[in-house]
Amino acid sequence: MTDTLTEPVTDTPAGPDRPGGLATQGLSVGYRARPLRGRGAGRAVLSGLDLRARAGELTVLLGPNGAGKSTLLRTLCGLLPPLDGRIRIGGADLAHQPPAALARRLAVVLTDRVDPGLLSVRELAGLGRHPHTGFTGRLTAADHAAVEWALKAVGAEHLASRPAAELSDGERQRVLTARALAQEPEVVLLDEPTAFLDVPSRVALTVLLRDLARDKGLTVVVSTHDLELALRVADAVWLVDRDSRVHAGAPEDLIHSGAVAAAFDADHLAFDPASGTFGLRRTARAGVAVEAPPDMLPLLERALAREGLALTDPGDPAATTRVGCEGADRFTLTGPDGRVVHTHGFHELTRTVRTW
Amino acid sequence: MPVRSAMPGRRQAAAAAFLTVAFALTACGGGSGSPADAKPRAAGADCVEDFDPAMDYFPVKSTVKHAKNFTLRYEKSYQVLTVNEPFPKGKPESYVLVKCGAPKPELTGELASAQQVTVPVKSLYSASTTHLPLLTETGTLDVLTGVASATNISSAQVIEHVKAGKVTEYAKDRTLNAETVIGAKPDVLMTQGTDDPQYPKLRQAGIAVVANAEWLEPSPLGRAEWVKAMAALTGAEKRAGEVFDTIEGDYRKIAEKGAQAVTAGKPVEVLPGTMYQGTWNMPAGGSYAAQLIKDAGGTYPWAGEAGTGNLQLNFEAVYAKGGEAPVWIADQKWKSTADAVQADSRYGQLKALTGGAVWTNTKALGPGGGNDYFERGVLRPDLVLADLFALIHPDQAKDHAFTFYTQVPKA
Amino acid sequence: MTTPVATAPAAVPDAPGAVRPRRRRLAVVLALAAGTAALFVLTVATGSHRVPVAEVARILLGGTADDPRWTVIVEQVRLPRALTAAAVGAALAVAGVQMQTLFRNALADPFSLGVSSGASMGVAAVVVGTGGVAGSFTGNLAGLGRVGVVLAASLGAAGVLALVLLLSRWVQSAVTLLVIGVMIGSAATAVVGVMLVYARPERTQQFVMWGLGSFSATTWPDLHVMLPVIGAGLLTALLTAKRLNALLLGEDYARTMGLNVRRSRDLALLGTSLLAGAATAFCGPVAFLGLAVPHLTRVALGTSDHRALIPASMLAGAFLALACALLSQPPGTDSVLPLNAVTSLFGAPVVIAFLIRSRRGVQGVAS
Repeated sequence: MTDTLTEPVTDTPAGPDRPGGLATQGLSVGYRARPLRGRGAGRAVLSGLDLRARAGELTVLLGPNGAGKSTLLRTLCGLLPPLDGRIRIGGADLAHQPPAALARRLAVVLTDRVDPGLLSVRELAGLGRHPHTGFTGRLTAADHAAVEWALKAVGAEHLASRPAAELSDGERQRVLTARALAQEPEVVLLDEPTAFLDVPSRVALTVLLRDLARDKGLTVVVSTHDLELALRVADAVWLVDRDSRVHAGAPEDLIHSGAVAAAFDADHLAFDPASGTFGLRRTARAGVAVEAPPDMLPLLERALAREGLALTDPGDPAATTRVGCEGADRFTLTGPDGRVVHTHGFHELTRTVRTW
Repeated sequence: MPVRSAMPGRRQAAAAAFLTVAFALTACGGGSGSPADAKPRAAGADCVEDFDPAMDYFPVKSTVKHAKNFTLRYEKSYQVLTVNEPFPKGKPESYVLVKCGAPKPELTGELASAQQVTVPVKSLYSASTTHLPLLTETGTLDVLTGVASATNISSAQVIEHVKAGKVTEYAKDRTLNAETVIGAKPDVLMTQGTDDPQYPKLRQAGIAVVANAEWLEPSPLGRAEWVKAMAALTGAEKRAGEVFDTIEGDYRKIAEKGAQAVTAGKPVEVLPGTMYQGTWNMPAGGSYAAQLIKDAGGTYPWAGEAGTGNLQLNFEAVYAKGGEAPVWIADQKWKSTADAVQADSRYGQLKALTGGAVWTNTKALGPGGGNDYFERGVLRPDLVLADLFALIHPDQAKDHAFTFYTQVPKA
Repeated sequence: MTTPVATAPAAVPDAPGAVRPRRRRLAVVLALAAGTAALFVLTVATGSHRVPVAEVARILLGGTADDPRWTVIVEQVRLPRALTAAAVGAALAVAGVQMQTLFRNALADPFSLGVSSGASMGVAAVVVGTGGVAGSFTGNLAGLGRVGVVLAASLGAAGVLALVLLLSRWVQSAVTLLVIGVMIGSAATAVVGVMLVYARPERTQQFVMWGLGSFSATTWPDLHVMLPVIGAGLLTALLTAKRLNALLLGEDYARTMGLNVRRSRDLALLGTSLLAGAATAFCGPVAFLGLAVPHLTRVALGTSDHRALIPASMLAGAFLALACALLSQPPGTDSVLPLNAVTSLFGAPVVIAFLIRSRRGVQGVAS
């Protein structure tokens, strides 16, 4: 094995970097062909990774399904041995850390579905004190304080006495995050923490993670499918593309370079760099002339696009069809056969134009 | 664990499951007469040649005095053997035993569907070693052509017969091999008083399956009397009657001595049974074992308990009520009383061990490990009773030569 | 290593909810302890034969009873039985806790890994041994009578567990290991079936009686072996409480919390084999306690925290086992009901009712 690096990982350009953070050097991740044989012989999913997640920042790991996000994350938290290269946490090599010492530096929230059984929220979060407690596992006053602090940090202090099994999905992810925080780590890794959550909980948890990174100086790495939200909230992005290359940078860097579009664009989906969102990619089958007040135009455009119709200028002679808006939600539709229909609401509108 | 129905020596199995207790015997049994005096039976010669419907073809008739589980009814050219309980909780079964050469009787009612067996049978498959004495003592061993398994046989005469290659083993691994039996097509297969899913198949194949459920008889003489049921098949009614009368006479003589001993003093306290995993198996008052102890002039604290099976008792009760008995009648093969104490240290608290006598029914073990007590003891309750009388009243039978019981030496 | 995060507030926040559960746990443990003690006294003080309570007390304190038989009854019969029931109950319950947590399976119990099948195999080997089919080894064991049975059962149980432990070197997932254990168990059961075919019929009784389970079989020489082994197993379990807690969220979480999962698994398997192996060897495969007591205790305590669960399960197991011992030999009667009939027929409905009535059922472990 290689010696521990004596010099600190060199920082890219300048910047008010905090100490700590997580870095990889020439890291290859994947599964060994035979778990028991020596390292090296294996199928690398991702290789040659030189990544850096900084303290105080929320780093988001993005990529299409099957790109190796989970493999990378499980390697970073020590559940999978790296095929090659090394991982450094706060300057110390992960491979040289005793498990308990590592657990005091790095905590995780996994995708594993947990069944907390008959544990209260406080007890569940208290499990995170494992690497800090003594032989009997008794919690000291300091341990209790850390647990309360962690629950408060995720805004779950009001849940503390509830049975963990009765939590909603969003509450449970918060509590599991609290459990990770109770480990008092420098680095927190979360594998798709928002996967089972509804939209408000997703936003809330993602923002919470960013705030934790900022306020507590944590290094937070999150993998997610929630592209648009991640691009909006993340401080840094690791983007795994279809060719197993990992692009790193601020969300805007990757949008600008076209990496995001290259990674996610598909037959029916197009990334719009301007809005940072995805749109349905669909060629219009016809044009339709629209006369409507400006506040109605975007909605009309969405509705008609869904039906494969593009807006054209009201004066365009090629447009044989026409949609007029009589205020409120009343529409006058002129079909290709010249028939005029009055509709009420967007649903009637779309059902009518579908017949054109 | 499953005591399979086709197991040889079902008596052993019964003993195993119910922990039958052991008993004695004296060598007075003149009845064990050698079969030499039994006429070799020429089956063909006995057959009917010119059938005469008016003629009684069963000049020698057996009468059943003690057995409750079978009956014999004679007609002119056939007899009806009915087994009331062919296996535990089984419905009565009747067999029509037709004298060979006589026409098959036209029967109505329940007997219309009964199995018909031509007697005397020329070949017999036996599921239990308890059948063997019924054959050897009546001189009809030649009809034995199959046994479930030869391993457990104790009788030297039968082992000789097996070694001569005249006997097929049809259930060596406890499972009846129907192909073997059907291929050999014996005249009759005698059961061990249990049911077997293969029996209907054998009956379909034309093999008579006749139940022998003597182990469900609670009385020792009743069990012995099944020699007459066997004789109905082999045609040895006369010899069977003689054998049984001798056994009965001898049994009564010893029972008389036992009764006298009781009148003279009082019944001797004995402690029957053995403990397994802390549970003592004690014969109930109505059981075969209880009857033998009573007839031998002994008694024990549970002699009044109803039931023909075994009682499962805790050691505390046995020790408190029976711990003072001078005689303990057990059923384990112990080299010395130290073996017993090693098996369970609490045995050491029994008076029989410290200041009395410990007896076990393991004197007559056959070459394959089978216990003759379970084989010959069933037909010979006189021998068992003589042993028991001698061990219960040692002062009155000083010269008794034990057949089945042996005293465990003190360690 | 300074961690920027490790600056938890200095003051201990008052946790209003924390007090009540702790008080409830203490109350449950105290009630169980009192109940167990009461049943223990009842088991020693009552039986088929009436021994005056004062005499029982005098005997227990080393005095001489008026009737020497009373001394034998109390010292040789009742005390070993009560001690056996309490120890075996505690052993099976704790082994059940360990297995259910280790395998994250509500149906796991000490016998899931084939312990009882292994023990059965040992006993069956003894039973066959006297038939002369097997070698002189089992023949000699059989010559030892009950000692041989116990020895063979222990060897069988230990053999199966050694095999499972060996396989666990190569098996990552606890669920796979559980499946392997179940399969080894059925293989052992099959071997037992084959062996019994060749056993002398009159010897199979030993196997039958052993299989019915009994707390009455043990004598003082047995207890001198059994109690230290079970004690060691219980101590091992108590010392692994922290490890088992870490395993509550699954092996991956446990690993990221710094737990050496493999060593923890080995410790739990070792503890289970000591506990279940000793209990089974001396008392036969006692049904139901190992499966049910952990569930009952979790519900009563209201927590899956092993630091409370393990001691409470010991008491609950001892309590239930003593109750079953009393029921299997009702005071004042001579007869004995098979222990497994009592544990299953009387115990199961009680447990089912209790679990249905309690709101959260068997949630204590993963499914």
